[in-house]
Amino acid sequence: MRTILIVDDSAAVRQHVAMVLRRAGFQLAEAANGQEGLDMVDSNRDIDLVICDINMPKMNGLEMVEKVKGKPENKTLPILMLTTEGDISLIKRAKLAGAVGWIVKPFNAARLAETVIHLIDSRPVTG
Amino acid sequence: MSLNELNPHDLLNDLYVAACRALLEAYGLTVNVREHGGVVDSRVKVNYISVLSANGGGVNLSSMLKIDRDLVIRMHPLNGGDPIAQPDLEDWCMELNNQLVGRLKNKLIGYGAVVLIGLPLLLTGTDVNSIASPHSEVHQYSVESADGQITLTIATLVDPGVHLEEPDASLHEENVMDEGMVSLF
Repeated sequence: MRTILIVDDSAAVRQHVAMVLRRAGFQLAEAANGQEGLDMVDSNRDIDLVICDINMPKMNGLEMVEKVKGKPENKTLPILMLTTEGDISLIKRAKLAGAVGWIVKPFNAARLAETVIHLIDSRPVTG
Repeated sequence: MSLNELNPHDLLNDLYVAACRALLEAYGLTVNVREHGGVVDSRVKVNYISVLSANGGGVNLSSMLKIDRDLVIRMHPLNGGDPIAQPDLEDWCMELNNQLVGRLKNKLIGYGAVVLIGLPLLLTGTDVNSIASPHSEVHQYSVESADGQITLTIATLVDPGVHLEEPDASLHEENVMDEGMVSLF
């Protein structure tokens, strides 16, 4: 079963995303800030996609993306941003860092599930 | 002040109220918003209070969201399932304020103002009131819905040199992604 990591300092958001994606057939892992998210990606090679907020304590989402995607072993790991931020300059920064998409909260459950399925199915197969 | 300049405090208040209406509509609520607190409900009710600030480019604002417990439950994404624990309700109060100020921030971009949002705080206690800088302009709104009440307090402090112009629609479209939108790179 494919595994999604949700990184958000709001427990309610993590719970909501988890509920939506479990119904779509995924396993969920959770982290409450960017540092925890980075640690989980480093320690769990079974994560198929990361969903990540921006404004979090300890380490924000953009910094987490930059650190995760800075490692060669995470080259094909899709990271989808889920945030209240709609500023295009932040979106450009996330894209430059290696994120593959951006959703502005509040999210539509069906669209979130479709987007996650699409991104995982589109992920390059590594040898 | 030029013809296109807006009173920044009035603008922030108007955008704040509009952001609140839009946020609650997104969660399926029809609300009535009144300034200066509106009708005071004398019943003792449990409520949750979140404070969140945003600052940048000479614009400083603070949003205090005080929300009835029943309304938090109604709006919680897991409502209808197992009972929601108090820490989760408190967390959702903070997230609602986060989404509210986020909407306000996104609207401000079109007016040429970019603010950075902090992290929401939760306040607990009885008879909690907002504390704002004596130089801030403070407005309070009562938001009434069938499921409960929200009291919103916005405190704004804008540097004298800041001028906010009427928004250019193309500027907004070029610089902002709206709520609910999905973009794949």
